[in-house]
Amino acid sequence: MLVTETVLHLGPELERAVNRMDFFRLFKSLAGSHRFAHFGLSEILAEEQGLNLQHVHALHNFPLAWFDDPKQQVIDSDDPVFVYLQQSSAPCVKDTSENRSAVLTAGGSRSVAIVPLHAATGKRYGLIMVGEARDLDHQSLALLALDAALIFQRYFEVILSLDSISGLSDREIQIVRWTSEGKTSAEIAIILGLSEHTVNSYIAAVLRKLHVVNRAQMVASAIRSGLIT
Amino acid sequence: MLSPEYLLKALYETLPDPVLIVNEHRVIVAANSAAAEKFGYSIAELTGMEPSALYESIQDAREVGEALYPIRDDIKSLHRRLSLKRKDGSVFPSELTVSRLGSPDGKTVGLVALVRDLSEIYQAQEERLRAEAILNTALASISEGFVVYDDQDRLVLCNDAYREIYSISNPAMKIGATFESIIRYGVERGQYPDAGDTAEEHEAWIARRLERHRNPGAPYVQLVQPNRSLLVEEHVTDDNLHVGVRTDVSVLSEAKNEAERLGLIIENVAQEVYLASITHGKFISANKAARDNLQYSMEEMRELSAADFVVGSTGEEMAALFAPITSGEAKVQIFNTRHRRKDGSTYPCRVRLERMDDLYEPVALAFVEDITERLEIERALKQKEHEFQTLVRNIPDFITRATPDTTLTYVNENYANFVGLTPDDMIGRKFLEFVPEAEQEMLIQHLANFSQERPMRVSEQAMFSSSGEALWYLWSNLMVYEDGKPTELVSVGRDITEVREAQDRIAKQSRELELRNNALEQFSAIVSHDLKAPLRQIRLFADMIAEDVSTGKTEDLATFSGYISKRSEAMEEMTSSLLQYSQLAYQTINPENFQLSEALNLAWNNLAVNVGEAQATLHVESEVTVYADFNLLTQLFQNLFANSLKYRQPGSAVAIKAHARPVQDGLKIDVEDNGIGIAPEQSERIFGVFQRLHADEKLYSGTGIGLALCRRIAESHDGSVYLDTSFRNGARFVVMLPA
Amino acid sequence: MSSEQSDNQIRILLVDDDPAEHILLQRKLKSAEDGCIDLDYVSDIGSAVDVVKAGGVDMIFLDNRLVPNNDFRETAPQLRGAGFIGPIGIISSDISGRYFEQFRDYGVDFKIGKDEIDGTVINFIINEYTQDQLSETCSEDYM
Repeated sequence: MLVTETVLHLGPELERAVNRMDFFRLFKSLAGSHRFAHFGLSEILAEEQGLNLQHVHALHNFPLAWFDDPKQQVIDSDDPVFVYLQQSSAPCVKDTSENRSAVLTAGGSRSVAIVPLHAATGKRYGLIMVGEARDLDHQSLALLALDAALIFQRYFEVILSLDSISGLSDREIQIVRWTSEGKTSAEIAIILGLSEHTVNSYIAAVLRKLHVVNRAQMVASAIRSGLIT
Repeated sequence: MLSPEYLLKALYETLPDPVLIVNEHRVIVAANSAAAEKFGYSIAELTGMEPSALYESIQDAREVGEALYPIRDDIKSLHRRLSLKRKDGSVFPSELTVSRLGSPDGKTVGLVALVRDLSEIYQAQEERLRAEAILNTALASISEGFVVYDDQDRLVLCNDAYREIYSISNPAMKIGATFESIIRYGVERGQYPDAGDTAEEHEAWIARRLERHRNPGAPYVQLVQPNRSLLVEEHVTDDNLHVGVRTDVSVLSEAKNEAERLGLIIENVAQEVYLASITHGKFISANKAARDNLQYSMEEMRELSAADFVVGSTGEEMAALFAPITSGEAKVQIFNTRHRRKDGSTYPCRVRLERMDDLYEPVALAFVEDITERLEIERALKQKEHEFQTLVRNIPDFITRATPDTTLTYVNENYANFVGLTPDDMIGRKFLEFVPEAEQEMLIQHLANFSQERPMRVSEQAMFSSSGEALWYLWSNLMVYEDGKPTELVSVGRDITEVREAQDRIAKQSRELELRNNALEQFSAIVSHDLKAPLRQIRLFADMIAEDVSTGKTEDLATFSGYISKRSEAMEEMTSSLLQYSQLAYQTINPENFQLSEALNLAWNNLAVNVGEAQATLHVESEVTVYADFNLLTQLFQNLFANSLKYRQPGSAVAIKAHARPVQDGLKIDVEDNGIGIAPEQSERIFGVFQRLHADEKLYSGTGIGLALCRRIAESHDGSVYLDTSFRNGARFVVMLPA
Repeated sequence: MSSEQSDNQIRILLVDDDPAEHILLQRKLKSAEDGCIDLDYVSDIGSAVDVVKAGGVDMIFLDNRLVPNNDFRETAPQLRGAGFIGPIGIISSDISGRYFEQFRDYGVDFKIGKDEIDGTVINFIINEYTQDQLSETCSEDYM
């Protein structure tokens, strides 16, 4: 297993983070700098669901093999890690020997760092990092928690909060316009010189912003609110 | 024996008053000689006249006639005052008394008229009245108050001035009021400030006043409201009339007070004041300051003359000195001399002597000032002046004073020496004349900006000494203002040549330091970037080798280790290039003069091997001499040549031309080849470290540091090197070196 | 995503002028669990354009500095111009330059440093850029 030790300089890199990939890199770098090989971030929702690492805003680099069911990338609700996240708002390091979850014990991981995170809107997220047995001293844990909070705050600003931002960016308006003219994502991708994936990301973002569920509604809503004519 | 008839007749004859007897027919039957005299008629004329002719007024005559006639027995006497007429027509006032003349049997037989000439009486009365009027007018007009009380001390008369003086008491001054009542009235109402405030004081005062009034002594001064001083003179006449005169002496009092005050002032003033008699030469008076300083009492002073305490002069000399005063020629004389005190000590003084003739004898008034202290101050001032002059002469700074239009009024020696003139030569000229032309404009601007709020301006100026030396001076200019107008410009110049040079050195060093820092940063960037990449690959390949070895997979091992070697090599090359660069790039240059062709040829020879391989030729056109670091310049051209050799046209022999010629700013050296050339858009990049130019280039070597070093060397000579993008058919580099 | 390929097969094109990088990436892909990654390699942008035109490429990893000195600002648009609508990622040994921040304006989807890439990163990339963001609620055919 090739473990990379790239440490991204938090300051400038944070500012330059613009997509999920960049935040993936940041959290990965954070984990790596504290000698954790793997990390996972997701929203803490209702009890029964556990920590769903396939959540729309989740980020993780756990190998799929670690999951009981690769199609259900979840940490169970009765896993002590999840229980901890439910009950505490303070970061900690735990020994994984108590965990029954394969996710956290596979690959020789013996310790897990748990960092509860909070978005300004009140949404609760949890960041967990697993690695070899290590005692994380007080100071290191504090640094880890601080860096995690900073990255998460930025993640919130750039990605998560788009849900509540009402204005559409120029690019998004462009894509809505093209959509209203009957262009598919692939066609728009070619027109704008982007990947289809990116176009779909924009559309997804617009759907969330306009609180609609499909393209038709998106166009209709945009016309209604005068975003496009 | 004198019978009654005789006596009667005598009386009738001698009575000075006219008597006329008039009968019942109103005819005068008898008249005495007085009548004749008075009326101017003779007795004979009178006898038989009608009395009405003697009246001035017919009316009077008729009235009297009616009153008396016809004669009755019970007629009463008549007294009348009327005017009577003399024979010559003149009239006189008279008192006429007509009585019954009875016969012995009691029958009225006629009238007896007695005439009394009232002219004198009237005249006397008139005179008396006139005298009274004059007296009253006089009394009314004099400013002195005049009052008379009778023997009962009751007011008889007083003039207006008196009433005015005692205006407060005036209501009580009624004719007949007693003196006491009047003064009591006044005391109660504050007429007399000296009467005190309390009842007792009042009474005491009144008692004294009354006593004085009854027994007047010498005149004395009395104070009355409002603020007047009166001289009170009272007399009791032989008839026991109390006569009083009040003279207002306020002015005199004031004058007296003033005189007293002045006297006090003079007595106490710090200056010595002497009064001497010109006639006798002795002192009449000297004030306290004089007496104290000389240590004589007033009595002693009066025995002395000036000669007694003026030092160093004989009596003749003193007389000569005072001659103008004594002769009356001069009124005032001022001179310096020295006094000797009683105890023998002396002091210098300045004397002002004035002759005064207005007094009863000619006197000399002297004001003497002890100038010991003043002399001391002057001496100290001279000392300071001297010290100042010494300072001004000895400090190396330039000092000038000028009028606001820069006309010099004073220059110190240092400045004069610097300019090469004497101070006198410079005074009167404008100091702009001594400022180098190039700086004049700036200085004029500078000077125009003085204001009262900002009177001080500082400027740095290049200056040339008389020997042609170029120096830098810091001039501090101060404009002095008086009442808002500029009056003088004071300037001090300080040599800051050394300071400036030091500053320049420091600035240069800072620049160099900055350059080095920048270079260091670039260096770090280069190191981290261009070295990390191969390192990463080496590490990864090594890991991969380890993995494969552990799993027994060996087919790729050679490939992997080959990459490791290649990358390691590249890194070695890079590090040695970087080392070389760091050694050469910031080396201190040791410039010397040499022929450029020497460096070019040496550079070519250093590349002998490559030259041989490439069958390269060099053509040099250069007769110039350069002032530069020989080794570095050789390295520069060596790198350019190496570049040309590297980027050659495959299959062609390399031909390089080097051409040097002087240009306006320095030296221009062209190095051109016939190789593959460099794309214009790369013209800057190629001077970067480890930049790749060509698709087929070996990775991680590129141009290495050669061209970067060329640029660095050129720049450290304050020159430059760049690619001539207009050149086709190869690459042409241009090296610029300053003169 | 091309519907002609099997669900799991994903064809990635690596464009890098250093062949060593191809070997290294191949190795890394092996450690990624997704065994159905087909890695293609070309060493210059011209060849990349040809391969794209030929079709079948799902994702491109583009080395930032291709010969002689072109960065993604010159190369990525060429790929888009050739009609490629799949995700393009810039890989570079040094992504600290300021111009990197505008990568989206040039049609690039993500950036990552060469030394950050490992198996889990590949997994993430593949998951992230092949998942359908709109599938559940959205349909292309609404007209």
